[in-house]
Amino acid sequence: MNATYWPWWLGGLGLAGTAALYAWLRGVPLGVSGLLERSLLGSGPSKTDRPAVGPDCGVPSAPSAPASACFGSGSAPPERLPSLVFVVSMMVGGALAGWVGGQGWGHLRRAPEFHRFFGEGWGAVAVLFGGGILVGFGTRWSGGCTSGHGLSGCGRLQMPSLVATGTFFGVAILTSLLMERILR
Amino acid sequence: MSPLLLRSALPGLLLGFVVGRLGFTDYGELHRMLVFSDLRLFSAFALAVNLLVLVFMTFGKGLKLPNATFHRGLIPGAILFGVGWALTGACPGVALVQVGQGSLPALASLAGIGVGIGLRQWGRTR
Repeated sequence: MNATYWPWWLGGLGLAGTAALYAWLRGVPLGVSGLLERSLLGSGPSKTDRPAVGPDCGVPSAPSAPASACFGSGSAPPERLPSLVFVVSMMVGGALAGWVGGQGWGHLRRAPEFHRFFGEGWGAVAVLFGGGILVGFGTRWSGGCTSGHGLSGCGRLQMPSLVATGTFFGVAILTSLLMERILR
Repeated sequence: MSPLLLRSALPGLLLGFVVGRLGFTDYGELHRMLVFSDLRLFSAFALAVNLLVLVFMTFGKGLKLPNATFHRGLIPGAILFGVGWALTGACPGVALVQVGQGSLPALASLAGIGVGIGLRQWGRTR
C-alpha cells in the first residue's frame, strides 16, 4: 500500500469542512460513535449526552420526556435511518478513497508496524476484536470519540470534550510508546 | 433519496473519503503520530480543530448545538478508548472507512466496536 496521502493542511480542511457541514445540515454536532450506536441499536440519545440537570430521557422509565428535551436546546438527535445512511455512506466514501488511491480490495495485511507488534495469526485478530470492544465501550461511556469529542466538542471549546480528547490522546500515546518498548 | 437522508449521506461520503485519503486509516501512519515520529496526522487534526473553533465562533450561535457535560464515564471511557485506539488503530469512524477500503482485518475491529457499544448499552439499561 504505497498510497500517497493528502498533505496535512488538505486533510485538516476536509475534516473541519465535514464537521461544519454536518452540524449545519443536521443541527447536531457530528459524532461517529453516537451515529454508529444509533444505527446499531436505534436508541435515542445516550445517557452521557444528556444535560446534567434536566428531564431523565433516553431510558424506558421516563416515557414522558420528549426526545428533543434530551439534547439541550431542542434539536432532535439523528434517528436510526439517517444514522444508518451516514454509516453506510462513510464506508462508501472509504471505498472511493481506496479506489482513487489505488489500494485495491480485500487486504489481509495491515501496516508492517501492526504485524511487528502482534504477529500474523489469530492473535492479531484477537487484538483487533478485543481492542475494538475497548473502543466501542469506551467511546460510548465517554460520550464521544475522535469526531464527537475531538472535532465537534473541541471545535466548540467544550471543556468536557477538551478533557476527554486530552485523555484519549494521552493514553493512546502512552500505550503506543509502551508497545514500542514491550513488543519488540 | 429524501432530502433528510441526503443530509446524512453527503457528509458521510465526504468524511469517509477525507479520512481515507488523509491516511488516518493506515495503522503505520497513526502509530507514527502517536510515537511522535511523524506529526502529519496530528497537524491535520490540530488544524481541523482550530478551523472549527473559528467556524463555530462565527456561525455557532445560530446553530443552537447542545453542550457537552461532565459525567461519570467521561474520563474512564476516554482511557479505555485511548488503549483500544492505540492497539487497533481504529476509532469508530476509521473502522468503518477501513472496511469500505476493503481491509479484512478491520472487520474484526468493527465487530469488536459493535460488541463494545452493545455492552455499554446493556450496562446502562441494566
